[in-house]
Amino acid sequence: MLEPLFQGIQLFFTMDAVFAVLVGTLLGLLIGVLPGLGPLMGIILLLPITFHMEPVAGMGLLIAIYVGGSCGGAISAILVRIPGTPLAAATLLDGYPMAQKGRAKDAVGIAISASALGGVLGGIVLIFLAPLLARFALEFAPPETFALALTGLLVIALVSNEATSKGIMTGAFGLLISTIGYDQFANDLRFTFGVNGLLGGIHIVAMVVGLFAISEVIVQIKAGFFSRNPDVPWVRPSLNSALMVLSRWVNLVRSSAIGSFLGALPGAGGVVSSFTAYAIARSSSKTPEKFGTGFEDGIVATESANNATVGGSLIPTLSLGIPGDATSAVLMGALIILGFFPGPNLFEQNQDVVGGIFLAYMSANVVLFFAGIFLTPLFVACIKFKKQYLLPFITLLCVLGVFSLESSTFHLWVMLAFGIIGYVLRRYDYPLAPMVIGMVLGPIAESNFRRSLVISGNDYSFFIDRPIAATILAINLVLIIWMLCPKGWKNRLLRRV
Amino acid sequence: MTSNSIRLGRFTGRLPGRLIAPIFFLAIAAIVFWQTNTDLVEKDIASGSMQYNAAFVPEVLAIVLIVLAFFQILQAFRLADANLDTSASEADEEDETPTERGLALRSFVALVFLAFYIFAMRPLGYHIATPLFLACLFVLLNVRNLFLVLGLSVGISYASAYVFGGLLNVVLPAGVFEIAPF
Amino acid sequence: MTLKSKFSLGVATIAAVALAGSAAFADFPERKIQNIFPWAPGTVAHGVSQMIAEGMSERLGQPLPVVATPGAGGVKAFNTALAAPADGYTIFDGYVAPLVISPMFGRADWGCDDFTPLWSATSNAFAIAISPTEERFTDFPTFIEYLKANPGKTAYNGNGLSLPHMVSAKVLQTLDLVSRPVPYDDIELGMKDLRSGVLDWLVVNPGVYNANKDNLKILVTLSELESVQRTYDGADRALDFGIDLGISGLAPMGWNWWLVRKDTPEDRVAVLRDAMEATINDPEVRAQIEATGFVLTEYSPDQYSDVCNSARAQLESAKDAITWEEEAVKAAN
Repeated sequence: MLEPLFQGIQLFFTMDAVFAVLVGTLLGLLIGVLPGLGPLMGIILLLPITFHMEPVAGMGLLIAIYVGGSCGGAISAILVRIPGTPLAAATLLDGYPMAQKGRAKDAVGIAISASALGGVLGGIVLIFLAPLLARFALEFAPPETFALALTGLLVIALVSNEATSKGIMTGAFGLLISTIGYDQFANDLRFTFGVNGLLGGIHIVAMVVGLFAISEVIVQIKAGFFSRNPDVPWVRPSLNSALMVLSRWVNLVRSSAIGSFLGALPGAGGVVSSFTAYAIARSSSKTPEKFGTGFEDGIVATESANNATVGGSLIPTLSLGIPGDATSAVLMGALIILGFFPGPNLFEQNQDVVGGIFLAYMSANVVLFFAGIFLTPLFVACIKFKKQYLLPFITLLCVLGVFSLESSTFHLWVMLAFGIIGYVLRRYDYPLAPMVIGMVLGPIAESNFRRSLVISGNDYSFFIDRPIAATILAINLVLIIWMLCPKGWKNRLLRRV
Repeated sequence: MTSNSIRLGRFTGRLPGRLIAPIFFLAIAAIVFWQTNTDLVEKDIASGSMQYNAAFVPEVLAIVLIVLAFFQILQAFRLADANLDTSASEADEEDETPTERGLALRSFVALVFLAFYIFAMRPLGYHIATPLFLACLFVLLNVRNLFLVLGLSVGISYASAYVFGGLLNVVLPAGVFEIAPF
Repeated sequence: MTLKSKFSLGVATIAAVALAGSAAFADFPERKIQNIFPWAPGTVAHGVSQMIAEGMSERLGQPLPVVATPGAGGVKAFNTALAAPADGYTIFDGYVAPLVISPMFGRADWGCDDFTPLWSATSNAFAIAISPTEERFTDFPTFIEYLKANPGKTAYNGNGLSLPHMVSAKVLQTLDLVSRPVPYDDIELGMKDLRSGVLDWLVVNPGVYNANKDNLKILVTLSELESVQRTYDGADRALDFGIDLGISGLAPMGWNWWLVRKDTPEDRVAVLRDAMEATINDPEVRAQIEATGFVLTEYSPDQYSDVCNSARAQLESAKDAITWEEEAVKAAN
């Protein structure tokens, strides 16, 4: 287990590789902060740079961008209520209210520390449990993946606690949007109306930036006070928020475990794990009512989970050659381009490279931890700007971030449309987070459901004959019954337990 | 503003306001059914067993939307009825002061600027459209110092182009004047 | 208003200065060239196109980003590139699916000769593989025997109107075998399901094969070329079992040819062609590309029309195979 690590030491501890990880983490953090650009786009745009680098340095740079980028989105979510990446949509729930209470420093600090610590825990899972989890991931055929995606969709209802029916509506809307484009099972286009831009479907980033960022710009303009100096105190680097995260170690460990586990299963990814960790943290909390009001545990859960997902997603990517999510798929492509084929052979023949990659991943999280301590004051200082300067700049960043997805203005129209939709939905208290979950899980749920039926020749017993799929489906059923249960019954049941 | 439009404004702030979202979702559901019964039928992908039926999942979701939208509409009317007498205070809250109306107008204008910007980006090119757009926004948000407006618009636009076009190698529109420093 | 008019005057001045500056260097290319890539970003195929683009960029003195524009089997990318001016600043990454297959099924209305070719880029040959622990069949003849005895009972990765599914359907039709095609977003996901026993056999490309050599056994390559045999470590060809697949050359493979719009000025086309030719002959670039399992095809621009049209004619014969398979699967279940 530790063998690759020892072998990787001399590959990783070179000037180039360490420097690449340092730069990559900070760059990733910045890319995450910018609305639109996330770790995925960041890696894709910077991939050509790695062509001429040593493999471990090149992979180190990309993995560090992934680590930093998975965290950076939280910062803009907390400070300006704009999730820099879809990953941070869950962090918004508690991060922004906390900043509104004048605790922006704490919120950002907690988010970065929780990300770094969650990432380290995910790394430990990666190093010690990779073979085990990889074997488990192999058990996840289409029926299991479908069942798990369904669980993720039920999380929608859990996340939108007070407004369940509104949450289901926005969730269903997100699912519907994900059906736009080419249907590979029917071999034809759905809901594209002859528009070229829709042939590839709606890009989730364009949707998220519109829903959250553009709608927020509208809200901020409507609120006025353009030239008022924001009342944000200067803050100094401190270890406080890291300690706050550590004092919530149960939540930290649990959420990181959820993150790395879901990361290791192909298909799920960071968005789902952060929402799931959030829902579980809330339902197992003694003070569930504090969630959503700026509660430390909310940020710890989401951020540790989505960074632990990074470590988890590297498990099937490296050991099976099957990417855990879209971003690790790109990492896998990069590794092949650098001359190494991920998969079982990699662990046998190139232990040093595997070890170097592990070390790069762990180091990126360490860099992130210190970045949290020293850079938080800098990030918080950004919201010291007056709105009249900040809002145009943010709008331009949204435009550029979305434009760079495909160098296309079509996505900008999508962003604008969802900005208006997002504003209207927010105005009437429809939660936006379920839309993001629906959009992410929609294709996974639908395609694996239909794929299962194709494989089994339209035989539904396929779902029940497979033990893991049947178990997850049973759990889903219990969850549904629980949610439909009248409140009085639930309370009586809980008291008896 | 006539008193009529103010009353209308107050009206939209209350009951019909709450109906906007449900009606929007109903419209989405209607589009789904319209498509699954025309376009998808023509393509012959709206029937057969579930795995090859492209219409199945969207229709299920559309039905969910319809049911819940009606539930929301019902609730909106119930709330409106219940609040009939006590709604005065709520109505006052919804009543927009002239400043609020002005701000609402400004947010609308900002969206119009954004739409024009997106529209003009290809033909004019990034390096002309962006400073113009930024300058309009700055002016809209009460920045009155001409030099500041000019300097910030051009500066931010150029610096962002350097990061996205130069460092990240994104192809920014060059426009008819073919301006592409990065 | 005066503010705005002053402002636009300022911008116009800046624009005029910039324009005057650029007019002094009127050589092509004077700004970024983009390659519109039809598949998802970050894939190995994307990386390979980026390698060629990098080499060309060095020679042209301008960046050449490869912009991934996935959608509708590559048709979105082609439409996007067609909408750009024919000034040589937009290159089509002309993959066989959008270039040849989509028009065959009425999803697009262009033909090979509607574009001006640069050099051909790469190819990617497919093979039929099974799990090494598979006991029901161990080689191609027993595989055929088993599928014949169990029509419609086995499943493999086959994705609609795309490669490699068209080729595998053609093979099955030729041999009169029925197996259920299961759509997957990529071969890697199918690989996972082969390992977990959900799929019975798999059509692979060299990338997946190289990454999973211990978990794959190649039964037969879907090309008659010996170079492809070498890619798959000397695996048998269908030809070696006396089976004629009815398609040969580039037709049973994935391939791409870099193209520009038909009405692009000739001098610009020449500049691009020279840069691409030099790049694909650069030993360093070649080594880098070949390490990924992709093969450089090296067809020159004047061979384009023949190669593309003959591939199209051959794939035309595989077209019914998809419909045949659909009906055969329905009948078998």
